[in-house]
Amino acid sequence: MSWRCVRVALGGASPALSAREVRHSCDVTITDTSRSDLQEPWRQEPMRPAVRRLARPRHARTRTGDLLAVAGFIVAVTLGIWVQHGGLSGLLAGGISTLSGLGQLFGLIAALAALGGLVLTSRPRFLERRYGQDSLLAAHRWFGITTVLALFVHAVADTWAWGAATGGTIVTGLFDLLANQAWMVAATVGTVLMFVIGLSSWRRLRQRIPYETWYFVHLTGYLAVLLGFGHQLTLGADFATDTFAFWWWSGLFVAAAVFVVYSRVGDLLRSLTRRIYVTAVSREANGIGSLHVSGPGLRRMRVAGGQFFNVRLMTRDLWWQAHPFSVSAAPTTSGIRFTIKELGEDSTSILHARPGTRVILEGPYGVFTAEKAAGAPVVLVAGGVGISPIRALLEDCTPQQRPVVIVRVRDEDDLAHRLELERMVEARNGVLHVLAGRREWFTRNDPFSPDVLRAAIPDIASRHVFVCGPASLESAVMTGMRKAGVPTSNIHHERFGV
Amino acid sequence: MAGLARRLAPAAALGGLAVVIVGVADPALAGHSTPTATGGTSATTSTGTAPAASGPVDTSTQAQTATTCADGQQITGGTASTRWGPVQVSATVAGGQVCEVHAVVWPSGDGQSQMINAYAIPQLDAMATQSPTQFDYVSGATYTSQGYHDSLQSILDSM
Repeated sequence: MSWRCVRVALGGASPALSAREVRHSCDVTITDTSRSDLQEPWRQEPMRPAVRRLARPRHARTRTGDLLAVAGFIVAVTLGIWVQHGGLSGLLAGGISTLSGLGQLFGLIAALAALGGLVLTSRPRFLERRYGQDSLLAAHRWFGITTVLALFVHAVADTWAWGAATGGTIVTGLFDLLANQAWMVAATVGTVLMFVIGLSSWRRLRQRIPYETWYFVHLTGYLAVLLGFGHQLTLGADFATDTFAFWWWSGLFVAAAVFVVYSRVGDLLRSLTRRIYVTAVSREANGIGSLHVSGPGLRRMRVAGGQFFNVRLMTRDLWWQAHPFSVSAAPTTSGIRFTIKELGEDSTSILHARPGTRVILEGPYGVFTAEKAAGAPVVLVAGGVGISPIRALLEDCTPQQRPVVIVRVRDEDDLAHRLELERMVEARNGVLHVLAGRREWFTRNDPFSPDVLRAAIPDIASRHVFVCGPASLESAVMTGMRKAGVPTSNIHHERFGV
Repeated sequence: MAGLARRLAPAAALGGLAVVIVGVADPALAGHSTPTATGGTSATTSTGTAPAASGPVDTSTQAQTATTCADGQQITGGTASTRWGPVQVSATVAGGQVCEVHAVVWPSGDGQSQMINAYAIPQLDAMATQSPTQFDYVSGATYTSQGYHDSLQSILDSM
């Protein structure tokens, strides 16, 4: 159907056309009553014609089994090379051979884990669409921890073995390596970098460091991996002598680099070429506001409710920081709304953005979407500003899903979008529960205890549960829901931050 | 922008320092990976010192070189560190020509090295004696070959 038809059907009729002409020029009669933006009055703000909901992201076809097979193949070939070169027999031979073999093995583990971690954190689409950014980053964390620990074992064991083989101690071994072996200074510096990165990501330390400081330090990880590469080829007993092994190993590094460049630069280019601007900011509740953006760049985007973008405001002071903000209403060609909590200085200045400010949206990311429920009835639980994705998810729900929405806020004044929630829940045969009050009260009267849940939602075991909120709320809900009989695979959650 | 500078500083310092250290100190870039010839006596005290009869020696080569190199000067090359231990060679130089080369130190710290070098060292000795400036690596003993080559190069450089 042509755009003109849609425009006419939506009521933005051009005066030049009579109803008869419309019938004549349109093959399709459009009676789209399911459209939320027509039923719900707050969406009928001065609407530009031809507003349509943005398409939803394509279904991810990636299968976990396939990924595990590829990873297993890479590990198997690498270990095969190691065994074929006498790695295993050296490991079992005792003495310096064992030490050296151990060092080699852990060196290989560290390198593979580092490459895997890089691939995961580059968030290639086929992985992101399937698992979501938060799962990828959680996995990246484990790959990182493995890298750092394996690197430690590798460095100690191999330096010790070298020291012993050259008639000294681990210290003389280290000095000999640094002074005489190509790329060993680089490898040592790379190792130190990795340790610094690991340390800065340790939760206790991480909380004390501003996000961007931590992030920029984390970026030096690319350098660390690069610095380690040289000594693997000149000293790595497996790769220096065997042509196949050499190309295999180099190929792994090149493949990882291609992944990183393709998906990071691709995302960057995509986000830079979309023209999107701030249209308005509004106040929603105590300490919570909304950022409205729009522009021609939206037309070709695919977004689902519950997803988020890394949002960058292109002002002199803010362009270098990106904030993960959840879409808080069904995204349409007329705009996207983000609902934000005023946490620090930065989010406050974002809510003071002037209309017309250029916005860079990187994403959308996340798999916290209605697609997960596959049409089954749902329970949506939000804590604080976690209402943002929950509100968008609710809009994607159908009346058959009879959404039960539970919102946990400290105070009724903290609840954003209350009117919208009430109307949408009503239109979808659902229920809205607002749990307002101090945390102390709720710890004594747990609203997420299995008994309470079963009493309030009799068919809870057959529902899908979506939770978004602080970690404490999330774990309380997950525990309660599991005990109330909801299978773990039917509980979906979105973490704030990493 | 001040915020950006403040947050970028630690990472920039870390990365910059890393690049500078590697550029200045890494043997691969700073170009001091070749050992220098010590001449005369060998100063090495490592455990890798060769036992006199540790490998089968190609007697024909030995006999040949003994006649032509009788009045030559013995020069010991620098110690080259390898993955499995140091390698050091000694060469007899007569009339500005290297006429005989043999290893004096090679890795023997572990069973595997002993095994490999038992066949590799005699081959290297033979090949290097025949053509000191260009000889093949012994397959399976790349490290020793590399070290052998480096140590011998230090002798050639000092001539």
